[in-house]
Amino acid sequence: MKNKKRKALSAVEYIWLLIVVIAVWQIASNLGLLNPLTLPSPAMILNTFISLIKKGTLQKNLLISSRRVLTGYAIAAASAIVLGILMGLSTHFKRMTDLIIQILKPIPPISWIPLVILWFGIGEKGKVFLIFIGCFFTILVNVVDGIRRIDVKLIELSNSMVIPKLKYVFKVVIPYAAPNIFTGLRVGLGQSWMCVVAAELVASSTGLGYMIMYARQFGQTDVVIVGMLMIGIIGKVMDSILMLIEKRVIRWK
Amino acid sequence: MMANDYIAVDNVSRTFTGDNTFTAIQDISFTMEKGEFLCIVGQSGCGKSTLLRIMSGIDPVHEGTVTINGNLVTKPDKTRGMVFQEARLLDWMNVSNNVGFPLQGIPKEEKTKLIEEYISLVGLTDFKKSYPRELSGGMAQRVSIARALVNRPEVMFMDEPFGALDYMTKINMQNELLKIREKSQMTVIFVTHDIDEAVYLSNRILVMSKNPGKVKEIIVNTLPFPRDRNSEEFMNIRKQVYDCFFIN
Ligand SMILES: Nc1ncnc2c1ncn2[C@@H]1O[C@H](COP(=O)(O)OP(=O)(O)OP(=O)(O)O)[C@@H](O)[C@H]1O
Ligand SMILES: [Mg+2]
Repeated sequence: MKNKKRKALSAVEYIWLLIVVIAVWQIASNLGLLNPLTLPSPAMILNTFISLIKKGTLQKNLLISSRRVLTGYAIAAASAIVLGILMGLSTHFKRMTDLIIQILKPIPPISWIPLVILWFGIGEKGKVFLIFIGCFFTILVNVVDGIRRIDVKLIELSNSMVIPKLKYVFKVVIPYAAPNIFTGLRVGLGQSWMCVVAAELVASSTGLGYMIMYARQFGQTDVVIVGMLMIGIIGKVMDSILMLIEKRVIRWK
Repeated sequence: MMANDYIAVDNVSRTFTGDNTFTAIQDISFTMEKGEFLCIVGQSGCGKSTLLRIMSGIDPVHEGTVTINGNLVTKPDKTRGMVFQEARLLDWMNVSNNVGFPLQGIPKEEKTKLIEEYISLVGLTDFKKSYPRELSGGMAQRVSIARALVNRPEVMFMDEPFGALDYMTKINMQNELLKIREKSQMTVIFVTHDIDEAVYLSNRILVMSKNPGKVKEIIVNTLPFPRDRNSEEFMNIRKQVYDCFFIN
């Protein structure tokens, strides 16, 4: 009973601010305080949302953007984890690769666009590449950091038991770094969604980013906002899924 | 070094270099026979852990030599076991998997049997599926003891292994250790702060002095097993160790 009450309270705590913001926004619109051309009311946005779904454009664009994001992200995650483990384990390898990575890291994904067009043309590959660039370094840095943090006492323990190298990596190092690896994966996923608009600036005729930029040209602010919110919501949903996976994998905490 | 010494520690010193160099142990020499139980006692910081790390091969940076069974010790070996001063369990593995961690190249069935055997030996059968965070300090330390024993080492290094245990558990564990050692003829080097424990377990007691750590005296303890902690002979050895600490 008490538990149920606490759960309900915690749910209220979680969503009240969002509801207040929407309510204030709607009231302000109704009072004529907001210009619907620059900021349409929540009700109008909901209407647009429903009609976009009825037409099927929203689902189609969402699906296409998700596919791009997930492809770029999956390639980035897999390569960053492998490279990060190698860099974390070997000081020499880290030293050899560190400088080039530190220089590439601060370059904004959007500034890659001209090169991407030259290299990949205007197809899917370039878009996936931009998303890859957008999240690869974040994941990499977190993986390396997690592995470098390993407790020397556990290294010593494994040494004293003459544990084979591979077993040491998989049973000691990776589990130890798992919380940091997950942090990198979650932050990286967020960044890959942030890059989707930039990626779809490259001669695109589909995707949420395209939908937003296209609507802007026609002054359809409501469509712009629906597109923005869609990215926000799908990003949040995917993050929650990753968090659930993390909880299942890191049971020992 | 005599040819028949099973373990020979010869003029071992260890200096830590860093912001200020510090000699932790200096010119330590002694020998041991196979199957012997040596207890090392000495004040905190006198270099007991340092000596164990060198003898077990974990710390290769030192002066002097350690030989075991005629072989120079330069790195860890599967025939040697180590119980660290802290439990050092792997948080992501349950008790069974922690105990089985050092086992390699053994058929699964035999592995399971060995794990069960040693978990039961340290009295944790009911906790074999528990994770380290669910264990008390003393329980965690017992898991680490089982983990060191499961490989059935020929030489066992134990760094205050019973320090975190309550009196009753400690006495049980002492008796179990004596049993294992009798069965396996394992040679044991055992660090402790507890003089009673040293007299109860050992064939000899090495008393260390501090700054830098040196061998102060080696007290021979020939009391027959099983030992009675309240016997006059027990008290005599105890007094010898005590005097070595506090007189002169
Ligand atoms: N890695 C290290 N770097 C510098 N000094 C060290 C290092 N390891 C140990 N020492 C120093 O060497 C001395 C001996 O340490 P050691 O851990 O061997 O003591 P101990 O006898 O095991 O003490 P305790 O009973 O408290 O466990 C201490 O003064 C310690 O500060
Ligand atoms: Mg110590």
